[in-house]
Amino acid sequence: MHLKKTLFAAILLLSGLPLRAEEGLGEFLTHHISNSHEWKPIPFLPALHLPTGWILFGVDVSPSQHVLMMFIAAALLIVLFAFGSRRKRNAPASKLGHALEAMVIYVRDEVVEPNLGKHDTPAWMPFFLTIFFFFLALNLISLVPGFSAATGNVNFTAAMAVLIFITYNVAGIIHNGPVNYVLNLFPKGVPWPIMIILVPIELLGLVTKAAALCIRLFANMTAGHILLLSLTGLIIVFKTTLVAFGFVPMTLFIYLIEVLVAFLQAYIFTLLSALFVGMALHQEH
Amino acid sequence: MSAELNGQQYAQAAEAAPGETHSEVGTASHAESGKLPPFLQFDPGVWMWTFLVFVLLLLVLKKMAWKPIIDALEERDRTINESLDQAARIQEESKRITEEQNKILSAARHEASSLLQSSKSAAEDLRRKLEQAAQEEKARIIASATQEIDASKRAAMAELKRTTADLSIRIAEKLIQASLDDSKQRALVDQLITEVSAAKA
Repeated sequence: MHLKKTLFAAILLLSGLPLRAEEGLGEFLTHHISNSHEWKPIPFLPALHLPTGWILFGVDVSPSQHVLMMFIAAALLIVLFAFGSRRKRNAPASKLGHALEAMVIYVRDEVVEPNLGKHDTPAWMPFFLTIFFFFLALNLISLVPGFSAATGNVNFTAAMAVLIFITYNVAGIIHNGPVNYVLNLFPKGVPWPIMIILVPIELLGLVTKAAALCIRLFANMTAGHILLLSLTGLIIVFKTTLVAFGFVPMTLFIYLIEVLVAFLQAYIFTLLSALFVGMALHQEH
Repeated sequence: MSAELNGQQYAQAAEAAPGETHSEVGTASHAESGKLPPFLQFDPGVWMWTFLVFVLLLLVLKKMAWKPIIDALEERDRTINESLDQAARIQEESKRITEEQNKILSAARHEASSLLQSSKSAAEDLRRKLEQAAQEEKARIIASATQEIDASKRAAMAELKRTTADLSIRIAEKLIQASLDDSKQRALVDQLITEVSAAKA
């Protein structure tokens, strides 16, 4: 019985992989974590070709595979919340609604409110909820065979980090005034020679916070997928599908960890964003 | 690493192999040209789409989901807090009412017991008074009856004395017919009767 299950899982996993004998493991991995202009959701069927050559201001903005993932995640969220936000006598009308509401409450009580305070929380909730659920949806769909991880694309995470960087600086400037905001970035009552060292460090720290957000999410998602693909790629190394008996349980284990990581990284990104915005708003702390 | 180059690469790849399943640029060429691997290359398209999708998703979900959910949560928090306050108030009120009730009940009980006590003692008084009256009445009746009996007895005795004297006188008259002075005889008879009475007593 156990053997049958393992065999079935192996076949299922292998069928999701476009096996190419002429490739090495490196090409196999690079191919699977790279963006491209095609999408192959179903094995053995020809790939879906995405439009190319969309040029805007001399820049190629054709929707690539990861952009398609963003569309799918966004559409998924809109559909989920269209059903999930329906209410009956001030309670969610469905089990889905209850599940989503529980996560919304978690984000409010554990992520946003501790960092922003009770007063600022309502206004900022939509922003952080969108970050959390968008990232969670992207992370989770990347685990479905045939789908890829937009959150493992450094361009995506960098763009989001830049967005967060702009958000917390603009929020701090609006909340505290431009002069106060800049002055409060640096500690007070420090002799001026030390300020020569401190000012660049503090300015660098301002940027590093956002850069760390970008790299953390990208590295975590990419590493997880590389790990999964490396185990599967043992077929290429050993040139036999028999190794599936060994790596399928291991892959399953890593895969389950990846589900945890999907939630964890969405949570961490949201938490740190909230922390940075909170620091920019309430600089006295 | 430049945007145009990357775009061109994609375009070339798509042109060169429209039917194949793997059209991305291979790693070998990157290694040779010293460029970054494809998954680290700058891709302005992704940047633009990221901003666009995120902002649109934020606007759509804010209107469709976040606002209703957050409003409902706040409403619920408010309702729960109000209900808790109300429950506390009601509890306080019921405690007060219970205390009042107990007070009234104990007062009523006290009153009832004192009423019972007083009515009991009143009944006892009445009983004693009636008993006393009855005793007095009895004593009075007995006394008057005794007096009457004494009087009757005395009258009867006097009557008897007189009758006896008369009879004796008449008998003596008949016996001695005018031989004796009437008054002397009467005195003699009285003396005799007194002697007789004394002897009798």
